[in-house]
Amino acid sequence: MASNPESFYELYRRSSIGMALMDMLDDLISVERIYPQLAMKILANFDQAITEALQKSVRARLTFKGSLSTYRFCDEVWTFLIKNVQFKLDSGGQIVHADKVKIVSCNAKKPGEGA
Amino acid sequence: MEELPLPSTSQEAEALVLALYEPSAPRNLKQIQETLSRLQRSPSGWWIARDLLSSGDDKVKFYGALTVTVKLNTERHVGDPVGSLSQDDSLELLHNLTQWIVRSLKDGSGIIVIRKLISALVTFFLHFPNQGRLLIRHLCVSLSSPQAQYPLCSIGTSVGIDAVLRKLELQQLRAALWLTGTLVEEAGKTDLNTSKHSELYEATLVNAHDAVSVMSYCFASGLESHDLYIDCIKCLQSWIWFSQRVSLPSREVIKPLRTLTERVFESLGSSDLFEIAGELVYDLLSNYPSFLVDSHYQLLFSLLNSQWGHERYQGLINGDFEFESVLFGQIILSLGEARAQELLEEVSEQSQWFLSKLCGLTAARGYPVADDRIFVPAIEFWSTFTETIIDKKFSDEAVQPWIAPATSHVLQVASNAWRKASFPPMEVFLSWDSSDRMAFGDARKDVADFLQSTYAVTGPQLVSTFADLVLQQLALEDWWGLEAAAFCLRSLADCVADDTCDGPLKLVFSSSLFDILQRPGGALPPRVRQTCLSLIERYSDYFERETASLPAVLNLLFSVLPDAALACPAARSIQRLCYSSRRILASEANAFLGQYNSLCAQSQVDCLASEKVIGGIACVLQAIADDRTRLEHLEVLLKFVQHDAAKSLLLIEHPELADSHKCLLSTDTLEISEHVALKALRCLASIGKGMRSPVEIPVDLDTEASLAYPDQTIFLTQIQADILGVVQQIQEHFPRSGEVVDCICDILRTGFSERETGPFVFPPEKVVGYLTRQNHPCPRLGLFVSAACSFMSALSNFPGAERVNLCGDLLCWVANLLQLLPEPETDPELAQNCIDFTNRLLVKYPAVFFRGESTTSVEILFVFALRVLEGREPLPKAAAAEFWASFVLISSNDPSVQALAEEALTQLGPSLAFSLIRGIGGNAARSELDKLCEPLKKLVSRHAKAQVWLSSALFDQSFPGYQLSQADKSVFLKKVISLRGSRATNQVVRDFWLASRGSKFAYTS
Repeated sequence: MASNPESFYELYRRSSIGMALMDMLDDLISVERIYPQLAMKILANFDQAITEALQKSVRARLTFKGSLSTYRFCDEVWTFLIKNVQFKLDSGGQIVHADKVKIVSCNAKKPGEGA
Repeated sequence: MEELPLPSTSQEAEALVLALYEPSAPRNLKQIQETLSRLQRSPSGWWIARDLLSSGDDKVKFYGALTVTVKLNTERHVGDPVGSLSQDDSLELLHNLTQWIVRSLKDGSGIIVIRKLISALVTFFLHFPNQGRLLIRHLCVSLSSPQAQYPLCSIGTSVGIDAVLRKLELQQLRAALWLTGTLVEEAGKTDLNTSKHSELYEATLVNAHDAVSVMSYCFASGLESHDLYIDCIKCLQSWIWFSQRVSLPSREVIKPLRTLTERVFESLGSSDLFEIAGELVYDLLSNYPSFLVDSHYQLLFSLLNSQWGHERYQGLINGDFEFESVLFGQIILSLGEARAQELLEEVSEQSQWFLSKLCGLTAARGYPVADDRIFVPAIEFWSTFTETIIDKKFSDEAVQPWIAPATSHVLQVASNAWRKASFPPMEVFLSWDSSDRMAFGDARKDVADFLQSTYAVTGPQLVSTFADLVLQQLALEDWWGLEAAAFCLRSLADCVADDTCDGPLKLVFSSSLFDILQRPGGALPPRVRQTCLSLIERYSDYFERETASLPAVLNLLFSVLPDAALACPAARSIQRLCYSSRRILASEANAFLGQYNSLCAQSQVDCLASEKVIGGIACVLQAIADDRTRLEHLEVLLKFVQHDAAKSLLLIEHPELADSHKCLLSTDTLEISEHVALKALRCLASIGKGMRSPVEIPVDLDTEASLAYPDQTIFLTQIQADILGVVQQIQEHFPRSGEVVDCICDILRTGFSERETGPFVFPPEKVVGYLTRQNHPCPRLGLFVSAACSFMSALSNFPGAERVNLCGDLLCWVANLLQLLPEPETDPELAQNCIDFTNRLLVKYPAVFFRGESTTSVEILFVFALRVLEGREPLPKAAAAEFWASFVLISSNDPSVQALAEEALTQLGPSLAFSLIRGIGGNAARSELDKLCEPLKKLVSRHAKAQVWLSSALFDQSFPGYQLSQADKSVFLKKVISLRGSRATNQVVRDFWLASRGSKFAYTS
């Protein structure tokens, strides 16, 4: 529903692109090109845009296998720590190896709104 | 721009507003707009608004209402909390606003005016919630008796709202609905969970009862007017979403809203109301299913099972993909999603009927996306549903009577999906636009995902089904059907982990499929051939077990290499099979070389495919047991590379001699020689990787490291010289190519991880010699330094003395490179890799770092790392922070080394503290703080003088945070020291950085 004011997770702010955006906003505030209020608005738009872009526009897929070391479910957030992970990319079957991977996943819908 | 004088009369103000709507130069319009804005903010704004609202022109009235809103939003806050409006003023304003709405409804003002006035009334409510506790009722009463003057305080619960509503006319009811909806929409935009807005929350809640009454009355009488009904649905929608965001009392508010929602469900059957009602129902099912209760679901099931539901469904299945029809399909899918558990567990007539309907949505007429707009959401639903089946199947050990019917539906969907995954005839496909073509590809990926989930339910039976389909389509010569079946079979490859499916796979791979694929100029479209060939790559595990099939499959792959469309997947399959079956294929090395020779002779294979095939052949050669034979074959293989290298040099002078090859046709004439040179280097790197020992070879951990490089044979030395010769020759002739440098580093790296001698395992002094010859202005020098980092890791196999000398030479080379770098920003890649190298060396071989011969180099590196720590380049800065963290932490078993390290730290500690504190004090970027924290934490926890150094830096004039007091700095220092390098330091540093930069930067946590 377009009119439904939704709130979006802020977890992508800690991604490389989110950190770079915040550095850039800091620079613009430093040279007084923008006000902090606009920076807040931009970050809120970023939260929405990156969530929607990852949900709707990213079609690349991969599969991975590894050993599940730890998992927990706390405050509606799943966390998985996986060791010896092999990622198999969609295009060409290229395999990428990682010693340790942490996956943090939040419910796409707010608690109590169904699955 | 010159300012216009403010209008002194309402006539002048009106004229100015009207002028705004007249065509004029942008400069004039801007001037008028600014004047009107000043007027709105001026003290005379209130009476101007009143006068404008008395005008007969809608545009002027609209501006009057806007002025009221502006005044409310600005003046209210002057001298808050009292504001510039007194209690009496605000009551008068409320009365006036109501009367303006009443009058505008009577005098035929446009909707735009009425809605703007209602918006102003809601703005009043937001600022004076206590005076708007019965706002909806107040407006309704005023509308029902326009002549009567009702002070708000006299309108209490004694006034029966239903009786009032009965007196209202249609347009008045709509106005009441607009207020009801706008009020909750605007209230919902504020954060009602905070104490600041508690009055607003209370007032909204008090209005909720009247809101329900207004909506109930309008739903009851609205069937006569669709506009009223539509407004009512929109209003209800606003209240429902408000109830989702804010906790509302269930009995008083949620329950009546649920009851009202039934009216929306009932209106689905009306063609005029379907769109608006359908959107609300779809949104509720998708985003707020907990709002709905059993009666809603039963109502919806009955509607879908009615004549109306059947007709809508048939329309969709038969190819009606207009908006409303697709919306109908989405309602079915979201209902399925909301009731998935119940549909699965209750094996009833209704659930089976509904699942078959959901199943049917994957078989609508037309091609996915371009025609059929419901297939993608439908297959996504079935993927989720299948996952639910899997979860339930493996979590519940009891007897599961639902599994058989559920599996039957899933298999039916798989059957539908296979047909949908089939490509259309080429002319149809080409008629689609690029986004439709891409979306069709994505829909096929969705099918693949679904099939992979299905495999977990059905097991190998699914592979058999698609293997049979491949054979059937093959027999029928239905090529696009064959492609779709092969695509589905291919998508299951990742699910098949063992030999359980070898039976059906054998039937496919021993059928006439290979013969047909090999047939020259065959009838098979290229895409069909591609998909069928990719089966080989995806099921390469099968061929490792069924080695008897290998010759046939490799012959097929080599035969299709000249086909540009198939070259890459075929080359990839060759490489994969050669890698995994090298021992079996080793005896066929000559045949491979012969095949490759004939391909090269005809210049038929593109560069990328050549690289993969030659790498695959190298894998086969690696498995030859006899050293001499292996090297002889390798020498033959290297001849191809040498030939390419020589050709690249020739093409520098004579580009016209280039082959009419596919790759070269698309390459600029000036770049042809470089392209061929790169091909030679990449093939060489690919051979190097192929010649590596397979990873599964056991490693004897007890073997003494110093034996790693025994005597090499003359033949091996000669081959190594040939390889390095090619590399040097190409680098000399293409000294400005960064790509050449990249490839050379790849080649050097191939031998670093090997534990035995080999053609690409160059003697370490040769590697060091090659690396240290590289200097400015060679492009991408940082790559060579990065290769040196990898090389250093491989040196652990070497005796100590030799290692120290080699590392010392590399350290000297790195320091020289940095000395010649004007600024770290000139070449961030080089700066980063040099610091990274220094860091590794320091951690791995501190003795090399602190030996006497290294003193000058080390000084250069220390100074450079300090400069970078305060620089602007993020990657070198991160590397420098890591280096300093390692440096502070360094420890050695050798007392002399340890003493030198501690002395160095005592010397450098103050400078390091200054750099860190200047960064943490505001000079560093926010994203760099965590990295800067690492050396700070280590410094605090490891060195007794850290507090003194940090204190000097904090109270020095060069500290950037001028806003911070001496006390702030002291508190920070105290906190950092008391935390002794624990993780909490990061937050303290973050807070300090923020305090130093100022509150402007506190816009995010």
